[in-house]
Order: sequence, then structure tokens, then C-alpha cells
Amino acid sequence: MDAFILNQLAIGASVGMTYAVVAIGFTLIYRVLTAVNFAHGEVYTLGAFATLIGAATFKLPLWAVVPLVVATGALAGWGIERAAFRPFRRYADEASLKSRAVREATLLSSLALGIVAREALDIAFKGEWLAIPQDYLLNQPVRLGPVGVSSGELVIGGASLALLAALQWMLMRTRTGVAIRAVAANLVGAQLSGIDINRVVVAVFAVGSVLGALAGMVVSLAYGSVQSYMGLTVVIKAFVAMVIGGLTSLPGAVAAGVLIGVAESVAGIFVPSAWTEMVAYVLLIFTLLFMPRGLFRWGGA
Amino acid sequence: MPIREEIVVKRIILVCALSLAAAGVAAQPKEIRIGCYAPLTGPVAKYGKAMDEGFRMAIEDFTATGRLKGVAVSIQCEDDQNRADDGINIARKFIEDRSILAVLGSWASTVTLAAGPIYNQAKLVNLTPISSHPDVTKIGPYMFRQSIIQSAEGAANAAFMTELGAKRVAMLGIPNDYGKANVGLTRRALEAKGVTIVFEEFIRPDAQDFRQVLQKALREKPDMLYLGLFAPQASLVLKQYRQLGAQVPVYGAAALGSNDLLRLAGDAAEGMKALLVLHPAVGQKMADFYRRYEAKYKAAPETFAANAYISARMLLDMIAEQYPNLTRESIREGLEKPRTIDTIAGPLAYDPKTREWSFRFTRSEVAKGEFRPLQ
Amino acid sequence: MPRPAVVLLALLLVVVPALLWLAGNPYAARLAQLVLLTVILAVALNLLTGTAGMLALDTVVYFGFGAYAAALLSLNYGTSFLVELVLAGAAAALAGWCVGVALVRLASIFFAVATMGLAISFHATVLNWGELTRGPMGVRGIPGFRIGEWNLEGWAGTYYVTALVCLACVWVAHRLTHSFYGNAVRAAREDEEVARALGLAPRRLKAQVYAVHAAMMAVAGVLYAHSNRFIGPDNFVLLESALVLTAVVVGGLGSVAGAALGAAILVLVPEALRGVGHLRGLAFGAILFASILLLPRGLLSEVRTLAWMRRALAAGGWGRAGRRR
Repeated sequence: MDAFILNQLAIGASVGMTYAVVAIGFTLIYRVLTAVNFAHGEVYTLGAFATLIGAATFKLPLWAVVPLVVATGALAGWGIERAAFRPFRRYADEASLKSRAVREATLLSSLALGIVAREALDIAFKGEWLAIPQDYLLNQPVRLGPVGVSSGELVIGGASLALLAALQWMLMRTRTGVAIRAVAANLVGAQLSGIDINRVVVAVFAVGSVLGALAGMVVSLAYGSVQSYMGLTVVIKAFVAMVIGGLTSLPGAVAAGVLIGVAESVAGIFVPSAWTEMVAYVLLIFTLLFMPRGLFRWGGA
Repeated sequence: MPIREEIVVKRIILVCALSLAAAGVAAQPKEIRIGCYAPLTGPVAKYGKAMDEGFRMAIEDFTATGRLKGVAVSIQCEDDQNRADDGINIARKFIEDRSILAVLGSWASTVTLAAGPIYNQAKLVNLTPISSHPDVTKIGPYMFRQSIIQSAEGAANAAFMTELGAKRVAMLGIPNDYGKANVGLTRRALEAKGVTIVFEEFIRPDAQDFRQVLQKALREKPDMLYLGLFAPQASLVLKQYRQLGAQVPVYGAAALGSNDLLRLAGDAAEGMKALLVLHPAVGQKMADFYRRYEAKYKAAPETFAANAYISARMLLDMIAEQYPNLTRESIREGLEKPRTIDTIAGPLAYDPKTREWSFRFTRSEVAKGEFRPLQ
Repeated sequence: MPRPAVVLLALLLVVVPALLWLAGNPYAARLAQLVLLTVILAVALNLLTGTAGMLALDTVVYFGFGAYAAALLSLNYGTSFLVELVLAGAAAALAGWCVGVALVRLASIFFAVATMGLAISFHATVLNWGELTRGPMGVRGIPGFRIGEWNLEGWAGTYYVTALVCLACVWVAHRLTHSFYGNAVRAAREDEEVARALGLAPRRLKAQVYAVHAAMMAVAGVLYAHSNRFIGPDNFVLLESALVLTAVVVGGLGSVAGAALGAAILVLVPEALRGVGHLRGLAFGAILFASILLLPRGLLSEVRTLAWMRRALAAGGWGRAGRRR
């Protein structure tokens, strides 16, 4: 393979990583509540804006920006849960909690909340494209043999794998993680064994949104621009990655995100790149029709 | 029937007006209103707001000149959300409101092309300071445009690029009417000068990673890269282009001759060539405008604010000349008179064939973080 | 008590035009026409999402298909809009049937995602297939409504054409909703297994509803192209699908009258909010949020509408002349 093809694949994989890193938080929330949080894109945007404010306004060092972003994400997650999801958990039985009516209502309420957040950001920052200061950017070229990548891509890739690992560890090894899995598996059962559902759900939203905000941070550091509408397309891509990955599987969502990025890139070799916007959706419909349980789920699990 | 009734009403008004005029007591309008439609919300709200602010500054400056003392001049800006439907709704509203003498707007050609025919049919002048679609002024005699003419820019681009030694050009554009027309007309002018276009592609509007398409372009071994983009995408393209370590010189469309690009792209814009039109480096008056705007709004203006300012000022100056005999028709007649007007962008000549004004282009290069005019 | 159908006909064909004529205001006429156009979309989507329970985001696909078909046919072949209504409606029904058969197997959220993919792909196709659609330049100079020499381009003609088509669509939706067919579709929505046990073919029913909804959307698209006179890819972005879905949800899923009410709100509220300038997006989001929170079943809920309709039908009051006497 010549260097051109290798480079194209590397670019595809790194773009895919940005989809993957957003998809992790999105999938976590779906996995527990079977509800789609469309305000997740705005959490991602908030993470990017927190990075910008930390870097440009307060001129914090990069390590100090991280807790700011984490706090922003946790706060946003808590807010979304309180405003858009809790009001619909009026009846604490399994059937109504996971019923279609609640699912569709929360889908729309989170969408509406997202619109409010986006418009508020738009007014606050005058709809401006804002640049992250140069010296914070992670865009130094790095050569790996014939392939040229940037430091930011390595960070995004590393971050999504690290976040995935940390999340898996938390879910498997900590008390909160066990509680989260219990709620995801059987809500009423979890409640009967003394788990405070509301606390667990808030924890899920906080963790998922922290991941979303961190995604916004690393992507904005790698690309250097921030705008209030930046979360809009990303959340759709994360959604697609989640579905292709099998809806509830975190590694599946990450793999699907990377796959989408690579597929877009490979398609771009053969057709004008304007058409590659469709690749993810063609892949999506194909998956839904022929592998309805997701690309990575053949048996149980 | 309503139409016939309207004619009757119009005749009555006409007769009244004529009799008043004959008596020599023409009513002196105490209020002059101009309509405006622009995207004040949505993803391009920034540009709509820049237009709105440009209009307001024009009114302020016009009032400061002291012409038309005691007359309240206002521009009513309505939000079209960048949607054709809203543009049409606003048009229906404005043509009804007889106190509105002319309409400015919109930003997007999609909106102007949808609303334009309604203004044209209602014989209300619509002057767009931005919409660059080649068809906009073809709608009819009431459509005017005062923005950079794409075919003129294409010819000027081609002349500059060939002088810089371009033989094989790769072109990237934004897939909207602006990008299609800009890349298409520049390409035609380049090809007429014997330049080979080795690559042409339109980027994905939703993407933020353009290295893939850049690599595809570089594979064709161009000796110049042309960017028919807006500043947000162009800044990403430039940064990623530097990251790829490519050395091919970059040439930007005139829309990139803005400080916004420098702010977003930083060092990556270094060495880029572009034509300047509405940039403070083109002349003293424009520099003054930028300084005053920044003092007033605490932010550097978009070039669209300058577009809007020029259009509104021209319209208001013309209204002052015609006062007090003002009708919607007299506005059209006033604009139609072929003449050169003096603006902050220098003298603009009117072309009655296309109902457009031609702007002056200044060749420039980005050096040490700013646009330097070249001789 | 006069029959509701008569009231509706009188309202849309006599009272509203009379008011518009008295007001002499093309802006109001344009809004009335836009409301009726959106009612078609909302009623069609309500059939699919409300009655058949399939959350869909592909409104713009069939709407845009109808609009582009009308624009390109009338500009290239000079067809009348009546021909286009039939052609676009039939073609969309056929396409909808094929897509429907493939997609109805998917459970609710998957179906929604698949239709979202269709909507985005449609936009990309229209944007990039420049040879056919003129790409981002859009299609300009689409003729207004005409039947032979009879010019219906004025506001009254445009209004009446839209009103008649809208009434026809509402009638179809009404008959499908409040009938044994509607009961069957609702049964398929609630539980496919039970519906099958009752001897129904739930997937075929859903595919049929999908085809009908596609045809109605395309019909609305034809009207849109001829009344807007300019269409471009930006008219058919995913967001527009979401707006129509919002109208249906706010109005009340499963209720034809609710969908119509939601459509009117969707068109008129942002228009009324025009005065608040750049706070408009914020206000729209806040209203949407509040209505979902406070009125989760919508303004006119399905249960209430069904109960009301059943009473009206039992009394023989709906569209059955002379029964009561």
C-alpha cells in the first residue's frame, strides 16, 4: 500500500475517534435508561467552551483546565437529568420507566433543552467562531513511518481508549458501577434491593456528561475552533455509532465510531468528498436491516 | 375582486397625491422606514447581527450629517432564520406596510431568491448587500445588489494568480451557492488564461477535518491551492494544511480577506495571497469605519457589516436627495441612475445592465499576522 | 348542532377567505396558506407516528421529493400542478411502500434512526447531484398554480388550491384513523404479537400507512414548490423534519385535530415571536420544553379525540346526512 492510502486510513481512524469519544457518554446513558439524550451534543459544546474560557480568559495551564471541564460536564449532566428526565419518571415501575411514551417524551424534552442551551450559548458568545489560543493546541505533526498524524489525534485516540477503560473499570469494580449495572439490568429489582434509583441515574448522567465534556475538550484542542453549533452534527454521528455498535455496548460504540470514520475516508478516495456525508447513514441502514443487533453482537452478551 | 379593488384604491391615492402636488403642499413625511431581513438567529446569526449593526451605524452616521433634520429614520430588521419560508413571510409583511420604502437583505441567497420575486412583483426595491448568487438580480428590475460581483472577482483572481506564476491550480469550495459561483467563475477565468485546473472539490459542510481532501488535492501536484471558502472552514483547512507540511502556496477568495480569518487561523494563514475589498488595509475611510465600529460594539466587525453599512448609507443619502418626494418607485429610479458613488470602500461604479456596483480589489499577502497590500 | 364536517368546510372555504379578503392582507393570506400546508405534513406524520406509532424523521424526504418533482417537471415539461399532484403522489406512495416494507421490521428507536439517515442522505443527494437539481443553487422561477389558461397565482387561488388539497388529505387521514382500519393500525402499534393473533398483518398495515404518509408528504411538496416559487436543498434539512414532529407532539399524537392544531401553532407562534429578535430560538426551545413537560399527551390527546369521535359517530353526526332525523 502506498503512503497516500495509509495516510487516508490514518485520517479516517482519527476522525472516527472523535465520533467514538462522544459516543461513549451517549451510549452509557442509553444503556441505563434506554433513553436518548439529545442534549449530549450541547454537553460536548459546553466542554469545548469551558476549555476556551479556561485557556483564553483565565489563562490556566492545561492540567488545570481539565477539572474545570469535568466540573462543567458533571453540572450539565445533573442539570439535564433534573430538567429533562426526572419529571418523566413519575411512576417507579419498570413498564412505565421504559415505556415508549416516556422514551419519546424524554427524547423531545432533551432535544428542547439542547435547543435552549445552544441558543443561550449563541447569544452569550454572539454566534462567533472562537479560536483556542495557539499554545494550547495539540496539532504538532508526528510522523509514524510513512504516516503523518498530529499530536492531538494521538491524544484523542488515547483519551477515548483511556475513558473507555476507566468507565469499564468503574462499571465492573466500584459500588456505583455495580449499582448502575443493576439499574440497567432490572430497575425494579434494583430498587427492591435498596438502591436509590434517582442517585444512580444522576450519577450516570454526571459520568456520561463528563465524558461528553472531555470529548469536547480534546476535540477543540486538536482542531482549535469552538462554536455554539458544533455539537449538532457530532451528536448525530455519535448516535449512529451507538446504533451500529449495538446500542448498549461501549466498546461496540467506540469500534463503530472508528469504523464510520475509516469508511468515510475510504469512500472519499473514490468519490468526491461531499458525497461521503452519506456513508455513515448507508452503513447505518445496512446494519439495521441485515444485522439488527449491531455489527459486533452475534451471540448473547 | 381584491386586485381590481386595489387598483381603484391606488388610483384614488394617485389622484389625491397629484392634487396635493398641484397645490404645492406635498406632505413632508416625518418618518422614513426601511425594511431589512437577515438571519438574526440560527447557525449564521453572527452574520445577520453584523448586518444589523452595520445598518445601525449607517443610520447613526447619516443622522450625524444633519441632513433630514426632524425626520425619524429607521431600519426594521426582521429575523429570517436563514430559511426561505421566513423570508417569504417577511416579504409579505413588508410589501403590505406602505410606510416601508425599500428593503435590504438577506444574507443567504436561498432566502433572497425566495423572497426577491415577491418584492419585485410588489414593485418594492430589494437591495441585497450580501447574497452573491448570480441569479439574484435576474429576478427583475426591483432587485439590486451591492456586494462583490463574483465574475469580477473571478477575473481579478485569475489575473493575480497567473502573475504569481500559477500553472496548475487545485480548487476547494464550500458547497453552497457562494462556493459554486466563486469557484466556477474563478475557474473559468483561469482556464481562459491557459491555467490547468488539476483538482476541484467541494468540502463537506458538516466536517471539521479536511486533511483527506487536502491530500487528494496535493496528489495531483498543483502549484497553487485556491480556497473558495468562508473563514471558519478556511481556518481549519489552513491549519491542517500546515500540519501536513505541504509547501504549495495558498490563494484565498476575496471573502477570506478578513481579520476574522487571521484571528481563527493564526500562523497558518502566513503567506496566503488574497484580494482585499472590505478590509481596513484598503484605505483610510475603511480603516476609520473599522475603528469606530470596534469602539461602538467592542468587537472587530465582520466584512458583512461593512457591506451592510455601504448599502444603507447609499440608500439613505439617496433618500435625503429625493426628500420629500419619496415613493417606492422613486427609490428604484434613484438607484437606477448610472453614477459612481463615494463610499468607505472607495468609489463604486453602477452597472445598469446587472443592477450591481463594482468594488475595487486590492492585492495582498498575509505577512507577520496581517494583510499587507501589494503594489 | 351543525355537523363538524360542514363547520370545517365553511370555515376553511368561506369564513377564512372572507376574513382574509376583508383584511386585504397578503401576509395573513400567506400565513393561512402556510398553516394549511403544514397541516398536511402534520396530519400525514401523525398517521405514521401517532396512529401507527412509528417515530419518523424523514418528512423532508417525501416532501422534498414532491417539491423537486413539481419544480423540475413544470420547468422542463410545462406540466400542470394537477398532473404533478397525481404523479408525485403515486411515485411517493410506491417508493414509500418499498421503503416501508424494508423498514417496518425495525423497532421504534431503530426505525427513527433509519429515517433520520434517509433524511440526511436525501439532503446530501439533492445538494450534490447538481446535474439534476442544480445543487445548492436551487430551482428558481417555478410557475404558480395554473389550470390551463386559468391563473390561480394570486393569494386567493393559492389559498383555495392548498385548502382543497388539505381538506382532501385531512378527510383521508380522518377516515383511516376513525375506522376499523384505524383500530387495526392502533392494535398493531400497541402490540404486534397480539395483533397477529387477532388475524391482522401488523407489518403490512404499517407499510401501508407509511406509503400513504409518503404520498401526502409529496402532495404537500408539490404545493410548496408552486407557492414558494423557489426551492433549494436548504429547505429540506433534517431540522424541518424535527419541526413537523414537534408540531405533532405538541398537538397530540394520534389525534388528527391535534396534529392540525400543532401545525397552526408551529407556523404562527414563531411568526408572532418575530418581534423578540435574537431571543426567538431560545423562546421556541423553551415553549417546546414547557409543552412536553406540562402537556405530555399534547393539547388534544388521542384518547379524548377518539372518545369524542366515537360519540359523534354513534350519534350519526359526522358526515352522514339526514341520519339523525
